Amino acid sequence: MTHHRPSPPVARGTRGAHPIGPILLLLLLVAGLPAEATLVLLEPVEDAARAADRVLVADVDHLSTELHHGAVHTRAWLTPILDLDDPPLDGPLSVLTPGGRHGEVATRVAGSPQLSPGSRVLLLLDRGNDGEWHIRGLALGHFVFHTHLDGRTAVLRDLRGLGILPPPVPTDPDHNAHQHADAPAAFWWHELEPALRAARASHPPSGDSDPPHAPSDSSPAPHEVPPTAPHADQPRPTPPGPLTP
Amino acid sequence: MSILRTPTPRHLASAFAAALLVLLATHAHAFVRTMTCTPPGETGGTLTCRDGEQPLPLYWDAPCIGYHVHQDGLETLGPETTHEQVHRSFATWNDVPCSWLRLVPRGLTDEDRVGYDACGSSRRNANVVLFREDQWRAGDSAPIIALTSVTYIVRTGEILDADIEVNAAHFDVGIVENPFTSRHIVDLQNALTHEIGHLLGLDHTSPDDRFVGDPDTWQEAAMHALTRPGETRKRTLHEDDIAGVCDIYPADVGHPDGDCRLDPTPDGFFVRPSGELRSSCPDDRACGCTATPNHSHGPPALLLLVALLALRRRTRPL
Repeated sequence: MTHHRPSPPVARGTRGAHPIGPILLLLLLVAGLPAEATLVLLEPVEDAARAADRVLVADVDHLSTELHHGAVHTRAWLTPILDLDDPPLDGPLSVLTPGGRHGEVATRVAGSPQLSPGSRVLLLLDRGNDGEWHIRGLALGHFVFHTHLDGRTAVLRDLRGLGILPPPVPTDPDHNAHQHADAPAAFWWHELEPALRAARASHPPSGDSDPPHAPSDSSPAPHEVPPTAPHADQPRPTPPGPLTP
Repeated sequence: MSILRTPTPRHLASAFAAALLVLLATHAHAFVRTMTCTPPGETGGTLTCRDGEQPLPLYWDAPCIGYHVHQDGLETLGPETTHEQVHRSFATWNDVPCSWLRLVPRGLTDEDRVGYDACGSSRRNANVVLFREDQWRAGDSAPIIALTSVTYIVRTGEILDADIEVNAAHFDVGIVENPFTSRHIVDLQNALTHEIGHLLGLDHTSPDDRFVGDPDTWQEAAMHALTRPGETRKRTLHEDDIAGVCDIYPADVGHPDGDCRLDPTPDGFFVRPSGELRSSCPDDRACGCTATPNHSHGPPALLLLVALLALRRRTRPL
């Protein structure tokens, strides 16, 4: 009998994108989604934003890996662009996510968010007992900005690590496949931002380094957030200053 | 009037789509193998493939893989019942005739660290199942039920270590006796069976195959990402889960080292060969890494190595 090492050079059983996306998306809608995940609870965005310790839009500057309590973690260095809490965080910050590459070895944690340098993201953050910022619910607290064909800004929840939505993720929040009753995954930013602000207004002050904020009677007008981080040779907005269209 | 009609382009397109669906339904699987890196262009963070790298599927390169269970178990179930549930979960994946990999219980441990340290001891790198009851690791309120951290060699995809953590700090983890009366309980065996699939090298089933076959059965796969408290159907493997593990470890091909014949020494720890990785270890830390693949080394062997290395360092000329 011929023996061989168990790993073929080509992944078998790994699926690529299918050409019949619309049919697939329709079936996804029809099938519906359970409300909770093995790894994380599939919280609706408003609930997650209410429970999070901090909600902000930030540019991902760069990534590094480190051993945190002996396990490989990725640290993402961020420049805040828009902080939905008042007072806003002062200056850059970093968040820690489980897994990453460390020398010759790497650690994967299914469902862990994968942030890309240069991207602009919406993050729901929790402050861990270790004093570090963590993304709430792994990838479920990570949203990526996209520009729709009509120029509007869409925000997509990162569900790919959980295998919930088919890659590539469509960028149209009006598409039915994203409008599941329990947990929609794509939003128009001009609609989502007021909802997030309202959720934050009912968020209980968290203490420690998070200054409590006073709920506001009148919600501020939505900010126009450019969907991508400015190019390196372009001037950056001064965080967390006002954003212009 | 003839009942035969000339097919229109629309009819042809429909027929083609139907044929395509049948074809995919016949050959496609929903299982997905975990890959070493993510192709550039997709969001992959630090796991994005570098120049010249191709994504490779993860695998264990040994006929049997040992695992340890934290000695404390779950407070609500007690150690014995907890350990029994853990062993049942692993046994589910062992009970697959078309797979040659066997998961072997190696006893209890008080090790509560996860991850892999190429320069660390065999004890440090055991595959462990942990229960976080007082404090969950990533944020105090993060709604995570369980995590599996799989560490591997990027260049080959060989898995070095896999640790499972169960969040009993925020969830009522136990045994679902009756789905109607235990709707708030996260079933331990249900969750662990899923996590062990990650330990073996499987990722979440892909929803882009939802249209293949019966969509209801697709959602019954143990590697389906979603569950609810009270669910127990992931305790048993779906045919797609079986197809996945047998794709990685096909019994009809077998492993070069033969069948699993691990000596079930209760206090032994599985140690991976990691000479290449150890080359960067400082001398004073490398002692604990020395190991032979697929054999268990007890504390006396490690102590002997430590003593020999210490002696060698003392006699080294200045």
